[in-house]
Amino acid sequence: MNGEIVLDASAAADWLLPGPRSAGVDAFVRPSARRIAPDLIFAEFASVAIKLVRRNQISRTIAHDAVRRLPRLIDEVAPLDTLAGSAYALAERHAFSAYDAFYLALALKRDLALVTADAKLARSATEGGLARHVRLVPPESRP
Amino acid sequence: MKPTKYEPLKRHLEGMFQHGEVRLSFQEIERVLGFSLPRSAYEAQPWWSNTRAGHSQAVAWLDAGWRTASLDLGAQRVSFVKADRSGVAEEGATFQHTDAEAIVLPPSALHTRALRMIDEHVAEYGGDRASACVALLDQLANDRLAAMVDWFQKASPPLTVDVVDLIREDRDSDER
Repeated sequence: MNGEIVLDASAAADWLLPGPRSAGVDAFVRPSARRIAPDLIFAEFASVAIKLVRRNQISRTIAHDAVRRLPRLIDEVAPLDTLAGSAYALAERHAFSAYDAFYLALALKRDLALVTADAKLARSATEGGLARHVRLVPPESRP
Repeated sequence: MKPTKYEPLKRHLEGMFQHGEVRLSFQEIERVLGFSLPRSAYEAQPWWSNTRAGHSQAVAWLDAGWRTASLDLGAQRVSFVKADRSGVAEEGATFQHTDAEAIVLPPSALHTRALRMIDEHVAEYGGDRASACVALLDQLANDRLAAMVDWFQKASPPLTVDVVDLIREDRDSDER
């Protein structure tokens, strides 16, 4: 059994919605013993769901169901107020976006790997010396 | 998920859900496991720490809902106490499982098939009916999650928009 991981919204969206990385995310994420995410994930996931509806990619029903079911993918939610200070310091020091920094702050705090489909986040983390704390889902991982 | 070699300890502790604290000698743990603990368990306190990373033994007791509370290396004894298990319920509401919320399953309320499944699990993996129920319900939860993911994957045609691009629109908003 794998250990705990931090999950971000890009990996969660790819896990639930059919994209080129979906199989890869499933292989990365499903065997993990526990999946942890900052509560930012709910805002980001809802945002991407509404954008997909507006671009006629998914139905309103599917989007609503996906947002409603997202908690089932997560075993523990970390409140943002417990991460804000360290996230801000990370963003300032490494020029991460504040959004990226919250996920990385949680991964650092728990000494875990952040699983993401976001190559820019992974690249920034690697350049910031945090490669050990990020795992990028391969861009094309259809079975 | 492939069980670790400490799975028997996890199942043993899962079956002790009616207790608030469990004190075990190292020898008792070895009998449960069926093998000797490593030397570091006898000599080094960190081996007993409640740290998941790199510690499959800790994963076993933490996944069972327990954490180590006191350790006596000289007497070769350790005590476990119930750890609150937190998670996320539907709609994001946080829930806590505590000792006071133990679930009672009267066998008379279960279908014969369910009882047979529980007893077959006991026969195959050991433990008691309580630990079998815990293991089977955990497996059911994992199966339901997998089925839900599969359903969502098939419910829509493949996206022609990359979700990462959509998320980056928000994440990069503080760079504008």
